[in-house]
Amino acid sequence: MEVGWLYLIPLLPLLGAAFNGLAGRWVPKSWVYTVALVVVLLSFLIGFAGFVQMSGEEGTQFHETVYTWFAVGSLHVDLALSLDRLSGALVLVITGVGFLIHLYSVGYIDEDPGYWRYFAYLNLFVAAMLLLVLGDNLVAMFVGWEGVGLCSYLLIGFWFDDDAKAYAGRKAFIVNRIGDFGFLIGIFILFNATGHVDFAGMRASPLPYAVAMWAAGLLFLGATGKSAQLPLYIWLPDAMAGPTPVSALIHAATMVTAGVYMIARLSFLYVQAPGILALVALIGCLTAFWGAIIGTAQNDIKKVLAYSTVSQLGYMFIGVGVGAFFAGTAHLITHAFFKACLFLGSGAVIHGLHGEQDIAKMGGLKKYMPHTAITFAIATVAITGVLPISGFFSKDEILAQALNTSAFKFLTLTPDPTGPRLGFLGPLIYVLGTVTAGITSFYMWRCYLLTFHGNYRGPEDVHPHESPAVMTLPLWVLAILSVVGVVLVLPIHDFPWSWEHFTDGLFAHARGGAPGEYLPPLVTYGIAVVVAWVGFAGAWTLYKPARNIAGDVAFERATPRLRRALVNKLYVDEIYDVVVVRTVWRGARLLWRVVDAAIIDGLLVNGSAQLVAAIGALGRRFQNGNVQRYAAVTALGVAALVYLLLVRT
Amino acid sequence: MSFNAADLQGVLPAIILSVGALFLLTSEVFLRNVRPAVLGHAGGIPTSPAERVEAKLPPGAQGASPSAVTPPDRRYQAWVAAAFAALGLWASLAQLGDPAIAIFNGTAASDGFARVVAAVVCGSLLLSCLVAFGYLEALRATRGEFYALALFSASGMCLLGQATDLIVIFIALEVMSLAVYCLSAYLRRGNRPAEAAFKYFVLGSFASAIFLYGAALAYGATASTRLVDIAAALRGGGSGLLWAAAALLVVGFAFKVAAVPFHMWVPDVYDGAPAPVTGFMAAAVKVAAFATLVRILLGGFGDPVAALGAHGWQRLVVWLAGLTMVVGNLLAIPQRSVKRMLAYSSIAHAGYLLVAVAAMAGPLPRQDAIGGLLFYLASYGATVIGAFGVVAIIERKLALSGAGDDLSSWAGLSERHPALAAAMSLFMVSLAGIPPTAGFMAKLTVFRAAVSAELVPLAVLGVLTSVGGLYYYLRVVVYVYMMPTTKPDAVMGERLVAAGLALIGCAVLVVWMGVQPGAFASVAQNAVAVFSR
Repeated sequence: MEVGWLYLIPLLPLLGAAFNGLAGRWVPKSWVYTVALVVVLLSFLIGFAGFVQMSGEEGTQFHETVYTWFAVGSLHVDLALSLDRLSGALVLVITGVGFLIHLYSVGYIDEDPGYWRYFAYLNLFVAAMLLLVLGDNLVAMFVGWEGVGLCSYLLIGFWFDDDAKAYAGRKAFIVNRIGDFGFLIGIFILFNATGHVDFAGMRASPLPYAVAMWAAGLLFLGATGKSAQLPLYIWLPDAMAGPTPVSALIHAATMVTAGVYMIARLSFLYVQAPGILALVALIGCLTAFWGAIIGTAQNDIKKVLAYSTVSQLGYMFIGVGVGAFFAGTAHLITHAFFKACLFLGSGAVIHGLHGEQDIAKMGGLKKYMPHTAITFAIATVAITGVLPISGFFSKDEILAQALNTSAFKFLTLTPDPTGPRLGFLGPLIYVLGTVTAGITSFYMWRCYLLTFHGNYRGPEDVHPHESPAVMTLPLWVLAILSVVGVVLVLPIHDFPWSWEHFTDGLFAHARGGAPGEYLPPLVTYGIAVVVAWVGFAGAWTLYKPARNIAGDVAFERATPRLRRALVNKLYVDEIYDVVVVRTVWRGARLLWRVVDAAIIDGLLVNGSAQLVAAIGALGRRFQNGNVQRYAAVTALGVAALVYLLLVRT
Repeated sequence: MSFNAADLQGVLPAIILSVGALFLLTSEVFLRNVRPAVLGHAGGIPTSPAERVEAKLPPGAQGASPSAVTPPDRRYQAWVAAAFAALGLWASLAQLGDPAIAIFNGTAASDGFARVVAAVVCGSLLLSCLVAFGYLEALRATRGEFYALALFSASGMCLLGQATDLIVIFIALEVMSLAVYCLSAYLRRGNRPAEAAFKYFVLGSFASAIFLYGAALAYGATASTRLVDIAAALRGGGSGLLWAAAALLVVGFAFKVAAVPFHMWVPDVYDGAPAPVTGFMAAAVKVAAFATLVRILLGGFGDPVAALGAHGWQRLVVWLAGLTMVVGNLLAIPQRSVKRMLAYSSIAHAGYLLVAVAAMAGPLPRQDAIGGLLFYLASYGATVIGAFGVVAIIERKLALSGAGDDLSSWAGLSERHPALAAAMSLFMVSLAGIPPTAGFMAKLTVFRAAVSAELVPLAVLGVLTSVGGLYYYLRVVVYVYMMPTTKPDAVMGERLVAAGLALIGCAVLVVWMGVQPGAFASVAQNAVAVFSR
């Protein structure tokens, strides 16, 4: 259905960004806050009204062609937006959680002189993210994709006079460029093969198998960059250099899930490339495990949450990888609630401790900041799944789908069609994912216990205090959402609120047929609960309030090498430094010496300068202001032209 | 031969502009306090430089001694001229969709092409009037004839876009040219404007004579001056006489569009003329001259055999285009005066436009090439009027402080006047052809048309020379933003209402055409149908 108001949803935050960026420095502070908050709230309300209208009937889609962006030859790109059940739900998450985080930021960033810049970037981010989600073609999506990357860079390096923070911003940007390169090539391949860039057009044109594989694989490369998956996850932990609300909004709730959204949006493409789907699930599973084990030994509260985000994103990729697109996107939504809550909670802790981020110097904060402690605990329950609220069901659905999937049964590792099949991949992912769930429970409870229980270990002169209401209110709203979000993912068939039911018909079906049933659902739930409690028990044994930080010493004594490796993030940054960065550096140096200094500077630049100077001198000879000479040149030109046309055939 | 009054409807924009000019001239009579001393030689010009600075007078500007009568307030003239330009713009756009008709016994045509050309001319005139307003006021040089001359020349340009007969073309050409000669000499005092105008006049007459010679040869070969008769004669075989005519007719307009080797007047004239006039010349004269070139080549010699065959004119235009792009860009590089640099840049852009003309010779992609040419002309017009508008503001500040036009006077502009700096950078970026500006889209469409007309080497040469252009365009941006201020600003805090309006208009157009070229392409679509077979 064509509508005429969709453009308002991304435009309003864009206008807010323009106002705050251009005029924010000069207008009163309250104007900046008001504009920043109101535009996001208005976007939310418009999105909400549209969502209610649209979701009434299955299969309704609001579509709007804002204008024809450009048409070059056969390439025709509209700036077109579409609101369906998937993008509609994400619009609500982005603007809803986004509004809460804007509200929280008012308390958080109030003392920083760059507050107007901060809100301009944050508004711009919301606009770009909305364009990414609403875009009805790959080009519009790519503009949003690059836009959120830009805002992420700007906000990670928000305190750019700190070299380490500016470096973190650059690292995020460069690592993302590697992925974006894949994304762009993927778009080119799809356009070349189908002649379309809009989703409906691409969906209608069947693709040759090899083309689908390449396109899906390269787009997934983009997703690994943006969504911090192996091997490109390394930027996300460093991205914690930005202000904490930014980490909550961009690096937990919304931007980093763009890769999952993209795969779900292009489900029709990915089901045509089952090998890539298996790769997506495998990478997701490995990343989930990888992030979780590194998370067990981090002492920076934001780093713990960052690795947890990497790990949880891995779960989402498992979901979409096994063909259960609804399960991956459902976890995307529930994760947005509880991870935003956790990040804002950590922000409140950091704020209350005047910038302290090391959980070794926290402890016992429950007493000083009760609201933060309780909301943090609720969100921790949600992510670990010790009690069946939102995170429990959304994660378990993914694992059950992985166990039961039929998407890989017909795949072979080698081109030989009689070779071994990949049917074992699903159960393998289930086992590793379940182990990861136990580790998740361990490190999240460790983080909670070390921060809020035991005795306060920080310096004497820092007096922890609870944050103002403008910051605790979003915490409570998000904590409540983490609990009631469970209605989306309750495993009741035909439940009207069920996300699975709601998105019926939105996603393509993976090849291989309907999932089988290895284990009955109740057994998988039982296993999940047991695993979660085992993780909690491990954390409690080591870090119970009486021992608290001493648990780390015990951990170290038990497995000194493993723990040291984990503390050092498994030396991945160092390995990349040797293998990738230095190699590129050496190559660049060589190119600089040979190509730049010798050929370009020596031959081309200086040479062309001399050439130009010579021509200029020659030109001045003619261009000497003498009219007779001008006329003579003109006459010679006429003669040459007549000769060209008349004599030379 | 008969005169049909309804034909006047077809030249409505030109009529509107002429009426405007006559109105302004007549209104002069009713002004009070007009004394010969003010109109002609000014009495009591301060002689020593110190006195001049004190009186805030540029060297050579018309001055008024305290004893002289204050000249009448002529500020209304700019607004009246702008209003008539807007009216002309409206008239040409309103007629856009009407069917094409031949008027005045087939000596002229009122078709989509002519209307788009008229629209671009009127738009350029509108913006130039706004730019000129503040400039002339600041130099105390507002006199009655300026806007009238501009309106007359614009009416000549509108007629040029319509003419389909060599005699009518010549008359319209002279209507346009004579007015522009006078405009370029408008700041009468000082040597440079007079020298520039004189050169322009002498060389322009030379080119007109060559054009006339070509027309005479064409008449000798076909016994007619109508373009359709030339086309008919060509279908019947053509003769050497006709080929020579084609070469001479092309030269006549190659001079006006500043194609190498007929470009030599451009740097001196652009440099010597007042900046608002230079902007108007670069934008509107180019539009009219290219429109006529297309009319002659496609209307008279447009048959593919004639265009591509043994004596075809495509090769000729290809040579002109290649030479113009290379020479224009190379000679622009060493320039340190922004105005002179823009003059050479205007030569280079003529080269890109000639690429589009060359692409029209083929039978197939003619639509793309014509649409591309018109889009390029419109986008170049908006950009260059904006650029010369900024130059005009800088120039009059310099003129008042007695300094010359050099890149160093642009240093640190971003600190003194951030809005002007941003606007100038936008125009430079557009001239260099960087997205998301109009210049990029224009180059893209023109080069695409060349590629589909199998002129790949020419398109490659165009792209390479555009890269060279980056150097001298971005150098201005470097000076504006990255160099420290060396000279204090002479005049600060004056209000730039009219010029600001024009600059905003240009900037909006530049960005709009770059982001949403489709809207303008559909306007140009009305024009391309004229020459399709």
